[in-house]
Amino acid sequence: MLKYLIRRCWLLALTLLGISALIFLILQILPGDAADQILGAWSSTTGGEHEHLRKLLGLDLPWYQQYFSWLWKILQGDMGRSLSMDAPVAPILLERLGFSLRLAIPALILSVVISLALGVIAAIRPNGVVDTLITVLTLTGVSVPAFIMGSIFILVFAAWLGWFPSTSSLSTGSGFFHWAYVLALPIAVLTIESLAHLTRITRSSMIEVLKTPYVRTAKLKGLPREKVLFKHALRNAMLPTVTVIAFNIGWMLGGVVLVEQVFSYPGLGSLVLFAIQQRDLPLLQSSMFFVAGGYCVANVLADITYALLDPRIRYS
Amino acid sequence: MPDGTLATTTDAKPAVKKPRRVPLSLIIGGSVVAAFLLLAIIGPYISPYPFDQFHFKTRMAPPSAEFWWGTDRYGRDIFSRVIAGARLTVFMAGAGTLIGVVAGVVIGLFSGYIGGWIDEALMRITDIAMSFPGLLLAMLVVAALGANEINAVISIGIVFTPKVARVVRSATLGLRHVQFVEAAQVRGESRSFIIFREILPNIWPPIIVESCIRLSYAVLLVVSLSYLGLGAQPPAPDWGLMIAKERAFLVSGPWVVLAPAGAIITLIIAVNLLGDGMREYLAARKVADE
Amino acid sequence: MSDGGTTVMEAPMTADANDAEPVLAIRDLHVSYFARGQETRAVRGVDLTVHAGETLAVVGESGSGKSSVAFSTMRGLDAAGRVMKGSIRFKDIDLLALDGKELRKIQGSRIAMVFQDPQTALNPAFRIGDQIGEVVREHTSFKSAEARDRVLHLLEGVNLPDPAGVAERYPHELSGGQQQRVLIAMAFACNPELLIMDEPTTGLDVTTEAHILDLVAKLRQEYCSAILYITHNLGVVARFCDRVAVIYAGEVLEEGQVSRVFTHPAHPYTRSLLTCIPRLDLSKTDRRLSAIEGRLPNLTDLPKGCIFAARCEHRADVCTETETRLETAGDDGANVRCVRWNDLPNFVFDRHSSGGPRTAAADTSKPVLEIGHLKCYYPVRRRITEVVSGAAQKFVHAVDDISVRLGKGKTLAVVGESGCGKTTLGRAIVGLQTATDGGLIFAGSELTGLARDRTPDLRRRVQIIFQNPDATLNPQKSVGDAIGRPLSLFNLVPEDKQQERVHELLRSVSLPESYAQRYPHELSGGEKQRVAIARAFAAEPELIVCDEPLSALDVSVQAAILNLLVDLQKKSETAYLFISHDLSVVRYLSDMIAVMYMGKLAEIGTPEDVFVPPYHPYTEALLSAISIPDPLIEQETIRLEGPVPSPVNPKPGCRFASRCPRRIVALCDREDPPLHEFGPTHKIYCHIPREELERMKPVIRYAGSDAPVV
Repeated sequence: MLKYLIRRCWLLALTLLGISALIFLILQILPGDAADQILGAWSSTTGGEHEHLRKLLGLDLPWYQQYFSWLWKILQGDMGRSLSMDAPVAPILLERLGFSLRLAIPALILSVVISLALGVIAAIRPNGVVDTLITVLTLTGVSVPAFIMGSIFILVFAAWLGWFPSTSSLSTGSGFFHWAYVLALPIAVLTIESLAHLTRITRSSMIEVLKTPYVRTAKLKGLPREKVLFKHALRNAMLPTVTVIAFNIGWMLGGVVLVEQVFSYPGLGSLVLFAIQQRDLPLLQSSMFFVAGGYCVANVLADITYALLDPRIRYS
Repeated sequence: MPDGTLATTTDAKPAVKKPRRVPLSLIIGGSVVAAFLLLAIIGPYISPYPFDQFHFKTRMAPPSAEFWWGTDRYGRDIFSRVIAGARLTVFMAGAGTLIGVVAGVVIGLFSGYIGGWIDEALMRITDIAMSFPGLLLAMLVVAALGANEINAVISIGIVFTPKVARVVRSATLGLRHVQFVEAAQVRGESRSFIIFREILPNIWPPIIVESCIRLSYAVLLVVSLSYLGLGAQPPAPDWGLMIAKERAFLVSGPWVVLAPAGAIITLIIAVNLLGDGMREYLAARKVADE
Repeated sequence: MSDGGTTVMEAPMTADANDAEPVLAIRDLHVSYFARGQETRAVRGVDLTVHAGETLAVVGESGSGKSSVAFSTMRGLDAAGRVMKGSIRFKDIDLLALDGKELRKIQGSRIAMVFQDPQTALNPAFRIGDQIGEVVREHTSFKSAEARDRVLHLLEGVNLPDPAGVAERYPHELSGGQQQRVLIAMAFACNPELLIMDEPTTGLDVTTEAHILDLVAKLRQEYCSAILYITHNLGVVARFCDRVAVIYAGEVLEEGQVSRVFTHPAHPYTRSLLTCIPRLDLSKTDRRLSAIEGRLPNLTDLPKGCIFAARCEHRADVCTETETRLETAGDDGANVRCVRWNDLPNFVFDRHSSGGPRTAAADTSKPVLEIGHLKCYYPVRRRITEVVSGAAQKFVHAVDDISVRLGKGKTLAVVGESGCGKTTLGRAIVGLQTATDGGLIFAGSELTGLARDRTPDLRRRVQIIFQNPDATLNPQKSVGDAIGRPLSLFNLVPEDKQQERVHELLRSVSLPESYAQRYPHELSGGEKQRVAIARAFAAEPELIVCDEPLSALDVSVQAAILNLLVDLQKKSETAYLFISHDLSVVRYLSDMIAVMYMGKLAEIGTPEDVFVPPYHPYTEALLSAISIPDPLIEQETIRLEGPVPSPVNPKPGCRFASRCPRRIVALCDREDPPLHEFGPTHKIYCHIPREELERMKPVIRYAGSDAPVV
């Protein structure tokens, strides 16, 4: 297991390196550079000033030197300086991350728990009434984009029924209940979005596993139904689900961007969007890296969970 | 004829071909998608008003006989705009999917069949591309290229290529050492013959199913990007854009949001049904063949 | 174990409890499967009785319904299957009437099951000990410590080394044979009164199969369990079972004592089954094999009268007009389902009469293929840390210094268990793999590298036929396209003559011309293999590598394909390199037999050389392990113990030393075995002195005599 962990972490480091290179290269396409943006309206000023600024920002260096200096700084915890906010990026990212996690973590937990239950229930009698009902619900879930579901929730639960606020700005010093009240709608949207996917995967892998010879063995051993279902079958059916949970975190990160936009919530997603709109290159570069890196870490965690569930991986 | 006693199988019955049942989801999904496609082609000829015509006297009008789905804050007819949006959304999603599927199939086939360091290198690159959440990678690409329809399509193609390549590669790997492929190798067939004539015809089912899944994500990405202002730009009658721009009027005039939202949901459900039905149909065919 | 005494085929122990209540009584069982609105009547009117301590074999080919019988007895049919009619009584319990809770009390404790394919029958996510312990805890009041002791006791009982260690392991860490032992231990967990075994040794090597059967024989005596044994292997039935029921297309056609059914089969189907298996005293020069014509009937639309009539060589009008039922034939308690059983001619086995070894002249013809010191090594994938630290590259020695020659129009068989390198050898010849060292001289020119690097002419002259008929043809290509492709690729016939040639080839493999338009999924397994043969012969090759072309086929189809291969060889003078694990097939077909073990040649010679002493000790063990469907033949009992060595960078010395019952300590582990030559054709690589090899006793003999069976 230790060997597996080391290998996985080693791969993670390589992937992070690849991600940073990809982000950096893609953003090299951007016309103009940070010097143009800082000077903004004054960009017509004398070339000397422009050149000076370029030098100051290191933009006169060849691209690979720029890349390595950026990478080196990140390794030291320096994520650069936002041009539009005129502040270091790292603290902003951390603060926004906190906000986003308050949406994502409850949504993740809720969706995993509910989807496992629904998936198993649906798989017991494929094509039965309950299964059909669940299938219809999940199909709707995957088919409604997060921003539309958010808008409809605002319309129904905030505007018409008045149960929850339509925007989710957190005032400082509020307690847990206020917090839950404010975030209920965005969390609900995120949960439903990822729930649908997970349920579909759990259901289909459970159906597959229930057909396997080892489940037949378990049944013919005379074990009670619950044991066959929840011990022998679910443990193996969880494997694809775990992989999808990892994918789902990525899906959720996309959903977070949309949901934050709908509910005017100041999380990481809004920050990325803001950076794009402002053409704030250092902020965009670092926040993208932060989000993609976080996603990779989540994936590694999922892989490790997978290995814990499946001895074949752990020992090979 | 070597010997009469060998004619063991000549009197065997020809295998009976049973008619296959086409799943209901395939029929429904397929016809709704076809309807949207038709709308995308003939939309402008049947819409009651030009989608960008202002009716200043009837701004924010609720649905009526004159304006079936009401008007927006400039008095533009929502119904006409939704119809016009169909062309934009369907074509953008279709084009993005096409780019991703074609590139992914080619990469996946070669990577899976040739193997070795080419495969290793291509798969590491797809790994990295796939370690971005799809929407964020698309946002990154659009941010670099500039926000417009074409770049949104390109970004969708880029997001999809590695995912399709993965599916095709694993299907190809599954056939890489199957005996009929090895028989072709022993005959000395060329690589391209083996890839395109021996392997490709056998992996259409997963490619088709994956394409349907991709198409539904493409619609989602198109409308999400335009909702975020990273796709079509105003005054284009894009569904996502309409929802984003009319957000402020959600409460006072829900129809401006609900009409395009309804169109989006219907289209995505239809594509998902098509994908599910296709998977079921192809799986049933496989069973029937065996 | 090394020099085990002779075991005569155990006389069937007629249970003296015949009058007592049977352990299992199946009466008039009907099972149907429902799919897409169609009812497939898989089992119809089956009656079976198993008494305490008795082993009943249910033997049949694929599609016979034998597994459906087993699973309905366990009440374990899958969702599509249903028992339509009949009763299944276990002692005084009506199994079909039990509710879920009562049933679960019996399943796994009083009735247990051992499955085919142990690899998938064990849950990959749980430790072996937990999977067995679960049964013990479910059905007994044992505390966890007691349950643990019981598990260890059970694992010990199935001869697994280090039971405590095995209990801690996961299924994927065990070999196939060990997994099957675990399943057997699980089945015996609660002293079952009835054990149902569904093809428990299919897919295992013969030496492992022999071990498993010995083990079950020991346990059934210990626990006095009744066994319902489902199999397609008549040899195993003869070796292991007391009574046998021959099942075909869902009906039992004959039932009786093994000794009686195998020596005096009454039903035409049983007779055909017994004569279509190549016997160890039969060679292609003696006579053709008898094959069973036609296909299984369509079970959704049953024919009237006898279910076997369409394929029966003795059929008369009465067969398709009268309904058949199982009736007592003769006075020895056998039952036959045939209206004409009394009118049939007496059944005589076509035994080779000489009883002594026939000698074959050395093959002096010019060889078509000469393999000289061939080596095929695969690199073992290194970890990054190993590359960095500069550890030496390790290799799997799949083929390690093999030299053989194959004459024009002759057949060389390469036999050995899985992993011995026989398939790699074949792949190197056709160019699916590169040789690491050594030479392949084919008709005067050298075969090197992969197929695509060879000249088209060489590629044309060396063809291959694969094992699995379902994968050998591209599902998207018609039969005509598949056979026609070599014709156009190698410019063998002008374009306008191609169709004609395809039809000719189809006829030569006894398929109608109309098959050219068919697609593989419309063909049966045997038909697909015929198309594959036609495709190989289309190139007009001089050498065909046959990689286990029969092992996925039913015995009746096997016989027809074997006959076809023999006929085509006679006509075309094509040489075969025939890779197989089935010694009786090899005996029938080949002119020379090479026995391989772990990449090395152990012994080579004509069939008459290999099947009589002197033997290589490995050959001796293989011959002892094979199951022969003839109660009048007896075998020496020699079982292989000891670990199978790793093929990665193998140690010096004889590869077989670790398992060899005749190992000479130190010498065998240290030095490569020397070559002994016996006569012009027979070579053995072994350290045992020549005189001792010559003194070996024949392993396979006619019962009551010392004459070896050849």
